[in-house]
Amino acid sequence: MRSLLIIALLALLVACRRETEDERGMEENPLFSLQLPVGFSFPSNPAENPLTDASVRLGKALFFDTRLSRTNTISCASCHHVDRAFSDTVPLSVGVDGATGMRNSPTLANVAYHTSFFRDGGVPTLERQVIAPVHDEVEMDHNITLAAETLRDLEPYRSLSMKAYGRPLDPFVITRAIASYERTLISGWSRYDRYLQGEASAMTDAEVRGMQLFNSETLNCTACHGGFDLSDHDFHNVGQYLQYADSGRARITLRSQDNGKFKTPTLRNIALTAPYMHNGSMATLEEVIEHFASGGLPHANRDPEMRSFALTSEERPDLIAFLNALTDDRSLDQVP
Amino acid sequence: MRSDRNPRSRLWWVACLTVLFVAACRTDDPIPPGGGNTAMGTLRIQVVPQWEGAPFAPYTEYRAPHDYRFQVEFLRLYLSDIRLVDANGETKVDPVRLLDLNNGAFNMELAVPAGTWYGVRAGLGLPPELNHTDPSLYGSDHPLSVNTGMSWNWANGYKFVLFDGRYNPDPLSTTPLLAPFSVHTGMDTCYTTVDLFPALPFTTASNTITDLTLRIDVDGFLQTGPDTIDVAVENQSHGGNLPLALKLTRNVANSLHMQ
Repeated sequence: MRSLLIIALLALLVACRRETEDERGMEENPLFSLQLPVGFSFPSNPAENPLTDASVRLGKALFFDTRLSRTNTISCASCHHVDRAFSDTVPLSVGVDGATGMRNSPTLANVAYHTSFFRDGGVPTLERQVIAPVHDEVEMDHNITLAAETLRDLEPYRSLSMKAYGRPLDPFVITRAIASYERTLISGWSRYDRYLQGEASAMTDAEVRGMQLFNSETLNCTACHGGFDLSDHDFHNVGQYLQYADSGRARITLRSQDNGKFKTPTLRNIALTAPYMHNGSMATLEEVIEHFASGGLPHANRDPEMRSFALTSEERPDLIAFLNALTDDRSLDQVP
Repeated sequence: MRSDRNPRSRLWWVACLTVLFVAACRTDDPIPPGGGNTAMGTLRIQVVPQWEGAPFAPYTEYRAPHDYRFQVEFLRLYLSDIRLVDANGETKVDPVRLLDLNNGAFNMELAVPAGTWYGVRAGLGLPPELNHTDPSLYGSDHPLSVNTGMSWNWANGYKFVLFDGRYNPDPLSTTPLLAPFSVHTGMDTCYTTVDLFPALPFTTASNTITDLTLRIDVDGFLQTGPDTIDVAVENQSHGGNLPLALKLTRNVANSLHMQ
């Protein structure tokens, strides 16, 4: 009789236990197997937006869909090309009806590790970032709600949206899904990385000499371009102009001391992401090195870490060779 | 000794425990909004936008300060943290409303408790806890939805007052108005509180509609007291130009009159 009592209680406990949404979702929608380079931590993501197979597949489909734009001509990929480490080839990207913006489209490599978005850091999450290009009149010039209504009943959106988020496609789903896909764009498989992991032959002698220059106190590149992403993700004025047409970080903070400051870009895949600087005003790495060697113009907010240096005719190609060694050996896109 | 226990008694205990567990697992119905209070009344505020005492209409040419030719094309603003004020303090009634002034007069209805009130107190704009929320979290009909065009998508916040139009500083000109005027206030520093008190206290009662009128003097947005906006030189603010944004905020706050 005692056994009967115990069995009855256990049966009731099991029956009463409420299956959580996470558990239900896990059965149908497993977590995405994100491949990470050696030493990279798993990027954090909001609790309401777990990185799942369905969310990243949905995000990828949306990322390449021109129907997010008013004219059905511009997708995220129009300005973030896969073969350019998800950056653009022109100084200012072209949006609907030939409109152009005011800043160069940055690479999306490793945005999973950023804590603010856009070159001025105005938006705090990858999810919220998605809304801006869809609505910006010089980019997609659309309404994210209207775009969702257009795509909601179409496949694969209908089924992936339900699977990933348990709801039909809407602004919440679009922003979460595209953010999920962007979180998978990991860069860390370059010859430089292999060299750091002990593969001495991964880089040429010239590239190694360039790396030593890069890391030297004289050039001081690592003051801002350090760490696993070769960026501090902070904001700096590098003396590009005496008067900036674009106030940069100050647009957000309204502080004069932030005028002309822009977020440090990663140097990963830098050979693929020309043109350079916040406005794409420098076409080549040679031009960029020339600028930094000059120490920049004496703007009031110029970063104190900006200091001039001289490179010999042998050192300059070595430095550029090193920057070329930062290109990934594989595509950033790991979503089938 | 154990075998001496009465089997019927054990079955009784199993039954009791079953009832106990089922009761413990039961999910309660959610408490309805407002705590289930059914004694609410309705405060119906007729919002009446005017230009120099006449009904305001967008795309209508008016005269701005300095006799400039001027027309408004889009005009919206947020009221938030809406409270009723009485002798005992404040009673919250609504977190946020978007007033779209482009379509003439309209009614804004608020569910309110019974009482006698001095007036309405509200935030002009959005408090930080709303200003920095994600617009994609809200349904398409919500005042904070991305559909309203009031979120600054490149920044972490909303426009508090959206005031767009065109002008020509030559009062004698006859050409179409082309020069754009676009002042969008926002940022936490532009958030301010306005007291919308009618001349006399008013009473609300359960299941009863109480009417008030909120007159909005749109012409006052360009000039109230010493704060005159010279649209020929002060015509752009999108997060920057804080002095102009604050001037417009003061003018708007001084142009709202509850009657």
